Amino acid sequence: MLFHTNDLKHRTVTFQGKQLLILYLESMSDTERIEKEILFPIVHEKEGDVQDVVTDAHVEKQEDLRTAVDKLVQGQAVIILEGDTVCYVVDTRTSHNRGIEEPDNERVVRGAHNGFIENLTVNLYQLRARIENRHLVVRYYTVGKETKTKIAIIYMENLANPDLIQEVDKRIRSISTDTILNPGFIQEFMEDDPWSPFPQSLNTERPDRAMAHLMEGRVVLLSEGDPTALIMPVTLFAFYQSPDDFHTRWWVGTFVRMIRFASFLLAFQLPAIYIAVVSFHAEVLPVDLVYTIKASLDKVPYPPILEAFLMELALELIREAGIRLPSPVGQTIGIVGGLVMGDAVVRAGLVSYTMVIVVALTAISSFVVPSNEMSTSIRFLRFPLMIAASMFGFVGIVFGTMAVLIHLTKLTSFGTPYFAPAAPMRLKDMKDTILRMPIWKMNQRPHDPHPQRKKQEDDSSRRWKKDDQGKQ
Amino acid sequence: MIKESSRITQGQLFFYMIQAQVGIGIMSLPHDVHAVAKGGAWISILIGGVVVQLAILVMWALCKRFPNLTMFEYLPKIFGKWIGGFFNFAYIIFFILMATLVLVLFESLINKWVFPLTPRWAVLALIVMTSVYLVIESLRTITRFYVFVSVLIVLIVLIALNAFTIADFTYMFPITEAGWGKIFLGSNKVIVSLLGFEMLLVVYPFVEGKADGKLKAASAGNAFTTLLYSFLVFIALIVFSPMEMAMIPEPIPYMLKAFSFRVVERLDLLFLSIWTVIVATSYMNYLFLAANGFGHYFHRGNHRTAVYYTAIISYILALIPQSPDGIEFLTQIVSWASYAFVYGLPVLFLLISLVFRKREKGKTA
Repeated sequence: MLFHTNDLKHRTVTFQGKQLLILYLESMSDTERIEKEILFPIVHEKEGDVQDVVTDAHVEKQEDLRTAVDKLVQGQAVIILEGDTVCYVVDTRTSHNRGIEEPDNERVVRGAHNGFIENLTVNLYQLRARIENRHLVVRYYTVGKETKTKIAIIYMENLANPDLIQEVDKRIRSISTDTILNPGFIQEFMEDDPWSPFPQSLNTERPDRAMAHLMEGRVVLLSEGDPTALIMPVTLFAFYQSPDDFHTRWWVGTFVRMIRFASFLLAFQLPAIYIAVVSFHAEVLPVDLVYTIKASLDKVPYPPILEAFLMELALELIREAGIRLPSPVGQTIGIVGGLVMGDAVVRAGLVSYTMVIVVALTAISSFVVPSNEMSTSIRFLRFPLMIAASMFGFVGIVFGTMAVLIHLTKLTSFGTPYFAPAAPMRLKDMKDTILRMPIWKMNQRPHDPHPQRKKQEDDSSRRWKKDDQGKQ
Repeated sequence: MIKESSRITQGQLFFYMIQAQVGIGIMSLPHDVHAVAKGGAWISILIGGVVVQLAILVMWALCKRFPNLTMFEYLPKIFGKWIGGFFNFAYIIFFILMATLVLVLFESLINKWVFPLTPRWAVLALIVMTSVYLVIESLRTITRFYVFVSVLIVLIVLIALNAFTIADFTYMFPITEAGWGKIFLGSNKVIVSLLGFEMLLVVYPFVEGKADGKLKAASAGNAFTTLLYSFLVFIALIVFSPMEMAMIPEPIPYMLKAFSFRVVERLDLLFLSIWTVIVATSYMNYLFLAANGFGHYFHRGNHRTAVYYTAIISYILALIPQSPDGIEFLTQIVSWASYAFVYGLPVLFLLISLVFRKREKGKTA
């Protein structure tokens, strides 16, 4: 049944006067547990029912040999007694866990410094520990015909919309592939519009972020072997929220959010606007500035679009190289690539100074987004816009931007509009999108996941204030 | 029947109304009306708004009799299959012509103000492709986009407010210089510029709620557009002297061109960019109306496929009139046609349906 593999171990002992065979995968099972919970009692007792003798908490009778093999592969030990039609499966799985650390790509200043790890059970524990509520439901699925990847969806039974749960369930069940390498696979199989450059489910490694979304009535999907949680449905604006916003004062939170939105616009539009201005509409700029820019541009033989592409590509190269290299070398790359090359490229007359400024600003802005996935999307989108700007100037930018806005309006995430609350416009939900209003003002859950209960606060949260005033 | 997933709310109808009405007219309206009504041009706009309001009332009364049907569905009910079909196709042609006119005027303005050398077909292709990309969606999605871009109108008003720094209020006096008769005549131009509200004939059954609420939303939209137009005309009147006004065909961007700030030297380009979006929504509106008509006849009520060829027809038509005379000719045709299709025929339809007691069977909303 199981193809010969070297890590399959077997051990024969005598029990009830008969031969007893214990099979397990060395790589998956905890040998210490096998010794303590199976071997020791069996050798000691010699007589009795196997299920009673084995001291492990989880012993299961199994008649189907095929299933038993599947269990074996999962790391459970299989006990076969001579002359018996059933075998016993004992849970002796071993777990090698990485410590719970803060995820590198989603850091916060204040707040919890723990993140999801590769082990599903530990991840579920982290969520359950945050929401100790009997309404928190976990549902397991196995996807990937060959890899048999275990995934879990988590939601609040009394908050999440039943239609949404059904939709998620339907989409997971329809996945029929051999391999599920990581949640990115599941994401692409489940998304409404896989052709879109925008991610339609949020991935995060932070339990606090996942928890916040659970409490808004969304669904979280975790998969064994990967520290990323997928959250669905989401809106564009969810990618611009960070748990940090809620640890600062709301004025500061709002300010930071606005900075992030400015960064969205800059990262998306700045190179295009620069190209349009220098190649078509120099008259938009004040006269003095035009002279400076022209002087810098005169030394460059290439049209602005080529300049821009050169610099943007160089930047993407530095970024990619920086990720792949070990961190001490990565910093060197940053300095060599950024400082030395930036300066030399201008002196060599390949790129103008202003273009370096524009590209640097764009790069910084694109890294402001708290979600890495979204930042990549934005950086990708600015290239078509640059081409449009180089051909049609401002008109090209307007139509390019309009096309993106239309795309966002059309896009849905699990049936709910992706661009909410901007389109469809919902001023009530704006409290937690571009702004970050005081928490006691956000007494309603956002509308987009259609939660079962809208209200999330009684009016009494700040009642003490009225009570105090009454006493005076 | 209208699918639940493409219904829009009354609030959305309000914004749809604004986006359908505000369009190409903004640019030249002050010049055109001033040519007739002189200092009283802004009053002409208000009068025009009232006339449009009357037309909206007629359409509303007509649509109210068929609360769940679009014009393409109820005209055959009033007149029978053949005559109703004839009217419907006449309307489809009218909508396509309107779409073409928007394209032609848009292109000629872009040509004049931004890109004198860019080929016509390229600029036209940009707007047509972008519009098609949205209009193939359901009305609900289209309207969501309209609501979102309505923010831009606030920007237009803010930009225009700068005019008060160089305003000279004596330019507009005496207000009744041209006489009340001329002021009334001036509104003639306005009721063409305010076109777009005829979408009510088709969009009405998509709107949720009671008939009264729909009327209120549509009227509020019209009131908003009228006030916006008269505000812009008013500003043009106080910035340019009557002499200048007669010579400047597009006063609003001309005025903005004169402003210069520390940061942005030419405000008119910013204005034109915003205006481009507003024009695109007008075009999208006509594209939707025409495609909806074709969809009713050829695609079982689904407008999606029809959008593609409707857009191509209007694109090709828009490439034809090259000369200013050609544009003028098209404008004339369309403005005369609009009197018939928007202000005339709905009255006729209403009367006939009243006289012959035609209304939608079943429950009345």
